Amino acid sequence: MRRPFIEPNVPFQENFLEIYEELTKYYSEIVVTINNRNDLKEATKKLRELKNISYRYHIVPTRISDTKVLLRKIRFKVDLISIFPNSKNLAAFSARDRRIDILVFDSTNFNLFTTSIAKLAKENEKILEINFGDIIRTPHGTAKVSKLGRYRALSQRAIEENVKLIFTMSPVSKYDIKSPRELGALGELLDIPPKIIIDGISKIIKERIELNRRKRSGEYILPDVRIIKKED
Amino acid sequence: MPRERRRYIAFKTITSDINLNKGKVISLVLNEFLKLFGEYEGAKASLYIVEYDSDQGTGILKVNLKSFRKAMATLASIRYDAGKDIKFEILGVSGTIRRCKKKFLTYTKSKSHDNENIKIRTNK
Repeated sequence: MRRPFIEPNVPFQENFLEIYEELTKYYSEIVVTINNRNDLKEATKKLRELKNISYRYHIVPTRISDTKVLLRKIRFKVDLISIFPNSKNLAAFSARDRRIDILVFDSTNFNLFTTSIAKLAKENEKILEINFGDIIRTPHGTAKVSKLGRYRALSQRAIEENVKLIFTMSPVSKYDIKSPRELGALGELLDIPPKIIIDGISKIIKERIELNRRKRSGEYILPDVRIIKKED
Repeated sequence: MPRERRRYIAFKTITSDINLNKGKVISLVLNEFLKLFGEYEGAKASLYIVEYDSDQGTGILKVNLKSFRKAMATLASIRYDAGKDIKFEILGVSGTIRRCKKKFLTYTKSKSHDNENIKIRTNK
């Protein structure tokens, strides 16, 4: 049986349908990333007929208080919530908060992902996202060298501290789309074993989406606890 | 000295409006490999484009077994050529040219490598 792969980050954009068609060759489910609440309404309306779509809200916050307000509003409307922490306090808050699923660090804020943040993320079962698209789309030269180094540091720290990793190409055109096998090969650039990449785009993301859907359904009590009927 | 073990990677090129030929593909792949892994690794990898069909955009890349993951990473990371969009899609990997052709590319004629009419076998 074919392993179900999931692309965890496809930005909602004009050419989304073209990208969706290409992605469905390799991926059984696609996560649409949305940055604001108006787009969320528009996307759910437009993509209602498409199969195997999940929604992810990506927060780029400025203050912790704003983030808390936003989280309260969106937590039951989407399948996944990710955050791009831009300060040390926000990184610590994001690693602790149980409503946030995915932490996004890139070459600009990679130094916020310290060992202590990694340990916090591990304790609170957070997932770290590595964006290969950011590396591939950078032209050769010092910028690429610096990005490769920073992403390598980030991913190696996460692997050392046993933080779960997911991987994406964050495709903005059909040329950015990579098959799971190609993503596995790209791990060579950051010294990540292919097994971690394959798990990241299948098992880890799928489990998190299913858990969040169960939580949203109202039947969820605790992990591995469920209400059974008398007949069962 | 034991004979080095090889892998053959079948690939397909998808471009916006670039005309590719075998020479161009060789230079694209070698340059990308050199930029990513350097001259030392480049020498060890013994990369070579065995054949490339410019009509179908498919080809076979030969590589040393020890460097084949690096070669796959190289193909996957080629994104632009002179500012234009380009993509190398990996169709599969095999240990022999014959198996590689049989598994991932189906040939209708086989007079010479350059004039072969290649049909891609959709294995998805």
